Amino acid sequence: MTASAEVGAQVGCDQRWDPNGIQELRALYEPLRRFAAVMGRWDVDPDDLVQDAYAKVLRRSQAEIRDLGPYLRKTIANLAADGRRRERRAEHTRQRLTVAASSTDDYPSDLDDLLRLAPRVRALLYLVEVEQRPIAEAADIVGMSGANARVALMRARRRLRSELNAEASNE
Amino acid sequence: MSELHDRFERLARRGTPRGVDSVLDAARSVAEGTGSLAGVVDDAPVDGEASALAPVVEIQPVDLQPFDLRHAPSSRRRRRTGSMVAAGGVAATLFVGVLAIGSFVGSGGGSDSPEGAVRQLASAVSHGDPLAAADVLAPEEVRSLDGTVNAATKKAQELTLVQDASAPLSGLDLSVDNLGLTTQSLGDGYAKVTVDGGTISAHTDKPKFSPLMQKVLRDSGDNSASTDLSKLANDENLPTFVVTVQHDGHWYVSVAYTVLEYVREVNHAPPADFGSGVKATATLGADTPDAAVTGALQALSQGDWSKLIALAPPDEIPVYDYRAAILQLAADSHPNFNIGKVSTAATVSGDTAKVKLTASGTTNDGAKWGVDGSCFTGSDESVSFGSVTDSSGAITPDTTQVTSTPTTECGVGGLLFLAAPVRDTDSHASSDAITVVKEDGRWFVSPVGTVLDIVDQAIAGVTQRSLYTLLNVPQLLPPDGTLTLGKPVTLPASSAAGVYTFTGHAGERVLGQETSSDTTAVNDGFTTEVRVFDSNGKALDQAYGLFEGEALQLPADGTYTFVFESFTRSPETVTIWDEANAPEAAKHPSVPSGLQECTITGSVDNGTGRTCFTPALPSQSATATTSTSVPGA
Repeated sequence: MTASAEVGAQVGCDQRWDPNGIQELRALYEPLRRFAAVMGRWDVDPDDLVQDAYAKVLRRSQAEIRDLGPYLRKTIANLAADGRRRERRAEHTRQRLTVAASSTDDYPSDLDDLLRLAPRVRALLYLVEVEQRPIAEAADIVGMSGANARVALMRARRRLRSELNAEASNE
Repeated sequence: MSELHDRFERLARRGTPRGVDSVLDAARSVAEGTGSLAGVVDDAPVDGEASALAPVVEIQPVDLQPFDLRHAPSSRRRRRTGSMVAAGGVAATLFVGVLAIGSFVGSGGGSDSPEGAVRQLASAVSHGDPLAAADVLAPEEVRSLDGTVNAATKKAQELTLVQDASAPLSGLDLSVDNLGLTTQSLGDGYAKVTVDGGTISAHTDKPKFSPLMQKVLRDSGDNSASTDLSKLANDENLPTFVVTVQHDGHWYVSVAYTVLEYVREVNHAPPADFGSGVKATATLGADTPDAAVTGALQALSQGDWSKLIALAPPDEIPVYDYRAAILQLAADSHPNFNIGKVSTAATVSGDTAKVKLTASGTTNDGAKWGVDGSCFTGSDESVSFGSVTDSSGAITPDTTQVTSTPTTECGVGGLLFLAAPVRDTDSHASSDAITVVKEDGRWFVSPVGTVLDIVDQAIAGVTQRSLYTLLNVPQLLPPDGTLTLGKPVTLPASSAAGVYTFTGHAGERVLGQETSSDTTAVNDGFTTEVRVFDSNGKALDQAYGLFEGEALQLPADGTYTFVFESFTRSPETVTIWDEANAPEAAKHPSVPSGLQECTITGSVDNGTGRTCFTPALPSQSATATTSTSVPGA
């Protein structure tokens, strides 16, 4: 039950990633953080999601990943989804324990329209509208089919347009 | 949609960036493994160019924050729900984990020196030898775990989590190498052994895992990680150390003393009076088991920490030795409840007693509380307030009225997450009672014994359904039934998954609809999560919106597995429709009212849920719900 030989053979990040690869990761930080901020829960630090995504790719060999940007975005999407699932289970547990829950998000009300969208749809809309990515690519990143993504985008735009117009008419 | 862009921009820029250097450096540390074993995770993409990641034994620094009973410590780099809880979690994990190993066989001979005990423990870990590990753990700390560990390992084997109950760690290889130690005497029979150097390594060997665990790990391969043992508490500028104790001429590693010594050093609290508790046993405790329990409750109510400390078994939890540190840390902690009535019923068996406690009283806020065995009754408070309309039409709340509604919960802490509470209707069942032990003629409340009873209860309640749900492989459960379009099925009111098969065809588009009488869950948006798996067990990503009006198009003919995970307190009904025949409520479900943001504090009850104040609403009574924390909850 000893594995010191195998452990000793383990290679570090610097052997799996050359300076160019690290530089590519650095260059992706800002757009990844923005994506994480859009996709992640309000009470989760976007940097935490980016850090976890970085850690996962650094464990792999650089040569294994063809297109780093979409790969990292997809990882962030998965991390965010798992985080929500865990939080939902935890919230359920808190409710069963009648512990005073403090899960109320404290976010600006004018972002409510966006935050009410399903996270995947919100991220999809961001990728298409703000990052100007093709729908197929954006759909792949958030784990939707192209057809479903088009429908989701159409509905999200319609809903947001309606809500923005309603807000404008109230001002 | 420039307004949309502006809002996305604000959302994308939220928070204060740590910067690429900080984030990347932290990621590299995690990737290279410099900390304690944390878990196995895999969130990387699994398709196309992103083939599956190996399971990664994540290693992160031990999180030991100052143990401040008055305030939650300030947040660290990573946002956490209170690092005091994290420190407690680390300590508890260490305590339970090490004791669990030791309790396989009871305790044995110890070592002839403090350093020898630590080296023997390290060697036992490296060789996966629980017998050797037990030999060097303090006998008093491992003696009561036999039953619990046996029950856990049997249950794990019964549920196929492990292949062999006698080898529960099969598949995880650990190695401790190049250990460098120094010893400092803490008093007669007590020594602190500091780890100056050495590494602990972990290696997963997937073929040795049970078939179930191999499925949980999916297509992942093996992985390795290691960390510098001398830097486990580096964040607190503390060395890694363990406290050893001497019994009958032999030295043992004490997990309890080690944890308490860490808490003391992190908080710069006064040193321990080693051995004072055991020496004073005859003067501590209570005359009877009932007096020990009622005395502990009264001490807790009065904030009499000295009395509470004196009622803990000195050889089980040496808090008496650390009384100066604990009293300093608890100086400003003031409980907020009073005791009205209290009664006990004890069942004594030799030097152990089970005491059922029945008590009630009020909090300082006037709310009622009650304890009946393992059931706690507290209050949910509903705050009602009237409102006034100003000249601009804006509504603001004014008068308030608090209404308390009693609620009862049975069971314990996070263990309910794993297992539904199993209540024994026998009022003197061990799960309903507090364990009290007799030492040197005096009775002490045993926290370990009491918690182990509840752990036993939780273990007994673990089912294949709850375990597979927790492991995130509910699709492997035997199906509960078959889904028929348009025909509702009722899910159990628990967080465990309901599994149903459905025979579908390529191109078929299905929608879901859920109904629940749990209005709180519905309003909060916490109802049911659905996942759909094809006949190969592959999850369909597009299922995410099944209950949100987004139809799922089935990719092929075949049998699909629908997994529903209900988060409601009452039974929930789920119906799957062909999109063309689905009712309007399935095609365009309303947004849960609790997910709507109020523009001002307060809300009105329109009979169907929460509705925010708006300038157009007339003046009317309003309702908001809050929860009040009560002692013992």
